[in-house]
Amino acid sequence: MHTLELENVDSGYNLKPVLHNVSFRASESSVYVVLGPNGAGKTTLFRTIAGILETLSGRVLLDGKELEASKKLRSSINYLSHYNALPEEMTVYNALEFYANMEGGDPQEVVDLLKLNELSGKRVSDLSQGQKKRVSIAKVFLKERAVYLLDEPTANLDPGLSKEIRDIVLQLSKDKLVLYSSHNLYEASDIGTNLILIKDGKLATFDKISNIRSKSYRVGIKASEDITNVVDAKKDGEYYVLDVSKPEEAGMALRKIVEKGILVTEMRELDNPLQELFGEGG
Amino acid sequence: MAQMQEMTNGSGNGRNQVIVTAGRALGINRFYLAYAIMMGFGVLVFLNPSSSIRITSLISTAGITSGAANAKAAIPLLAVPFTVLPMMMLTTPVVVLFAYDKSNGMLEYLLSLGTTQRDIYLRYLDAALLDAVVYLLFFGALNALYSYIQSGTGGLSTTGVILGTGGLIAVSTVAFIMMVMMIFSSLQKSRAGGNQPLAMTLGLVGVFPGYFIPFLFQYNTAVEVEIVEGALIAAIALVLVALSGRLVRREKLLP
Repeated sequence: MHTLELENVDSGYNLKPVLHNVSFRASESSVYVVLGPNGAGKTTLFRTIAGILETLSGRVLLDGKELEASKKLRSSINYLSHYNALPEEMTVYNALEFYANMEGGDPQEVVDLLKLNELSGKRVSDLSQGQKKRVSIAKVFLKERAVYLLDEPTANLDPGLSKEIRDIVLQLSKDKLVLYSSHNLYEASDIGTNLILIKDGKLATFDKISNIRSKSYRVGIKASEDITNVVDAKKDGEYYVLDVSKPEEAGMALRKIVEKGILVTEMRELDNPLQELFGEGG
Repeated sequence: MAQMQEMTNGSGNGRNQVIVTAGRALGINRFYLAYAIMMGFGVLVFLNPSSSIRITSLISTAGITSGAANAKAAIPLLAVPFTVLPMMMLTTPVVVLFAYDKSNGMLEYLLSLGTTQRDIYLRYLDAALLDAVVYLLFFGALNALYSYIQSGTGGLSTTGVILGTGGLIAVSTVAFIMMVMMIFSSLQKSRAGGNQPLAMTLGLVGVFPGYFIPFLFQYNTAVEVEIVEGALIAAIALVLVALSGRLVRREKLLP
């Protein structure tokens, strides 16, 4: 169990702050989803925690010790950035071996984990963007760390592989701290336990996702017959759309429809509860 | 004990990384290596003190230095700048690799692993020095062998002096160029290019005096002046290494 703590952190580039007075304490082994509009400061937050950017003021602490002061402590954090950071002239296996020599770990293990066997003999420069991303993710798992900072790890990946990556991350988060940024709100609510919302460089929300409630929910229902005379719903495309203020109201509406002998083939939440939070900043 | 083991492994990995970086640099653009090898053979054939067709011999017999009899003896030292030049050329691919690694996020990743700006600069600096030293050892041995075959042990002393002073100036110049170039490259907001011409221009700081010194001083004095020149350049490079962590903020190594 590790604790990552930010105390009144100001950080940025060329001595100009992008993050302003950010403070939070993450101590639960789980996925902390980092959300925010473009330019809000998510990558700056990751770079600051990783020690790539020196704080302008405030402190970043891991298990109570200041990260900046200790090389060893900094090396217990791994950061996956937008850039693949791969030596393109090498083969996939050699590129992973290159990093394994530097930080430890077994390249073959991550080749197996990320199913890179077919690619391992190819030069990195010959890979597609998605394949390069897979290799880049593989290097993150070479060595076990206390904290993982994953900046949009599933960008450029096909849905199948994105799911596999999310499964690996979820497995990892059982005993690690994982900070995970994504623009996909469904992915974020699917994988995250906690939310770190950054807006204009400030921490807007730090809470459990389960505590985040929308003011209203839009529920889409596919039914065998018209249900507008049973519940207060409107037809919108293929769905009958129902606005409810609590999830329980959706259940009661469903019961009414079923009691009328109408067959319900699908019922789903149309909006993501994170949408509202995200949209306000956007 | 465990800590010592970790440190030992760390320095072993460090050495390994320098070798890998040096090899990557030469692999990225083989033109510079080919050029340096051609220059090396050029020095061997035309500037080795024991060579029967050496250019320095032609210069002294042409009477260019006829007014300075003592200076004639220093003419073979003209081989020094020509020895430095190819080693200087070998720094260019390392600087190119540094810029390439910066733009594809590798330097950012290295920083995230806990390394500092200085560690990163030292990695590329050591790689450039390794390339230069391997080159010097190879062509040094070749020149010494050639001198021995041509003139026996008598020819070895001048060759040794040329290789010694040339090596000192070359290693210092390589270190100086690398540090200035990496700092220059780090401080560029966007890739403005110009690295190669700047590297060559800076390299002249180390090479240029070598073309004049043999004509201005007696042999012994010329050797001493060249040693002082090499030491001065080395001192500037060392200052740059020591200050690199303060001169350049970490974010300057981001893509």
